[in-house]
Amino acid sequence: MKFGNNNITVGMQVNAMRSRFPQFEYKRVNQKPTWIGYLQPTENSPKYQIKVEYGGSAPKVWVLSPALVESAPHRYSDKSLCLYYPQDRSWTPQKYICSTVIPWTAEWLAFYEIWCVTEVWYGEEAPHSGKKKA
Amino acid sequence: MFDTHIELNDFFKEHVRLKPDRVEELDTLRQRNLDRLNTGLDKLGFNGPVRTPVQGGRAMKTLNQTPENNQEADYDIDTATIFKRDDLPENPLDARRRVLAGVQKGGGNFSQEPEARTNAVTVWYQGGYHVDLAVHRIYTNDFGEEIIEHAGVEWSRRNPADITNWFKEQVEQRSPSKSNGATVDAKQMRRIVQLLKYFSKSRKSWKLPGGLIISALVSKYYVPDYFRDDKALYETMRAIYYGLLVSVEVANPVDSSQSLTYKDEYRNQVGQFRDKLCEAIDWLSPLFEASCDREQAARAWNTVYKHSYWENLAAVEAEKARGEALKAAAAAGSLYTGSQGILSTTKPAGRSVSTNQPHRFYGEG
Repeated sequence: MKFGNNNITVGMQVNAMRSRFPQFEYKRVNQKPTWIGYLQPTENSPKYQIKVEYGGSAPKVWVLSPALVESAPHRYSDKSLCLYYPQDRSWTPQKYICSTVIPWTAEWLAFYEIWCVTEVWYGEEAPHSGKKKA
Repeated sequence: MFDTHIELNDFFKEHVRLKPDRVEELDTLRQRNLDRLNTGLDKLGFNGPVRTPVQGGRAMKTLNQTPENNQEADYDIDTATIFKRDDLPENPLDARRRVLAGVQKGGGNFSQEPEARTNAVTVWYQGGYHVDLAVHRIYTNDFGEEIIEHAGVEWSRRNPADITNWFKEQVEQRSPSKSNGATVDAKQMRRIVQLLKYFSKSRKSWKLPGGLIISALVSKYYVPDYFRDDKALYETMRAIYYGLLVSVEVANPVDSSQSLTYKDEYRNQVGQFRDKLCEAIDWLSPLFEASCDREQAARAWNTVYKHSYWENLAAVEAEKARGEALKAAAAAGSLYTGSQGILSTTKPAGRSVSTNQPHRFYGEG
């Protein structure tokens, strides 16, 4: 007997996002499900415009504005954010983006703001060597 | 007392002491005025000075930067011009006017005309600096003794090297030395003088004593500390404050029969200094709280110095504390993300929000 996988469908992701983070607008861009919206990790933070692109396997997240410091850590070469260590399987297609990737993005922004002042990344990190691929 | 020795030292090195390139610039200004004086006197047919030793803060190596919040603070570079007695008029005012005439005749454009003031001829520069040329005469008395006199209101015996030598000796003898087990840099007493001079100029509205009076007070009340400059500064501030409660008179350290506070104006300035020290001691009281942290310590010093160095340090410390708190909350599974993305360590009210799920940011770069 073959069971279907437990992946959450795009439709379910869209509905969950709308419910949890209604400021994110959903569109299909180049055939890819995409959300654009704002996150503000603290009351004193700017509103960061965020783009989430979900190609089916792993969501990719960019900060569109305000511009980040060029040397900001934990980004891939395409400037998308490195929010989790793939081998940890903290993200899988069986999880909701609004419960994982978006809160992690808020964390990334908070730790980024702290890093800008202290030059220390306080978030938990998975060690990495070598250049990351986009 | 919360330990801010390293931070105070960084502040001193970066923001208080005058950097060598600026000192060099001032030396150039000084030399330019001496050249101008010699040229001018030559044109007027008079002999120039036989010696021109640097004195004051430059000689004592206590020159400071202009305070961040008081760019109008005025700093002087003092130079003695010592003439043979026969080469100057007998009247001290005429002697100063002779030097003034020499400076003016020597050429150059002045943004503000030089002036023969009571104790020196002053040439002003933009950037809050001026060169003071103090006028002296030298002769040998009947006992074969070399006498140097200063042209003030009247001729008074004063060797410009005396104060400099006294101060250097005090700094050498009284500062803790590494050979005696100290871990602080050598010449701590000089740093305390500079830190207090800087404090005294940190606000435009304050009218506090000049460098010589502060140097004399530090010398009298200095409390050395072998391991920390911040403690030495604090304890010296307290000692000066309590000393000034008894009297605001400050004697000339190389001639106790002379007062450095011979005018009401100077005594008032010393009284104001005492009152500001009292306030500063109070501002530093958080350093003695058991709960004091680096941010509070930086804020306390910022109240004293009103300088962005301390403000930024406090901001960095606050962010570090925020980073640690977020990290701990994430590790403990008690970090929440509100609908706008605002992170909190308490569950947003009235919402069915679960804690952020565990994850690790990928990589170090």
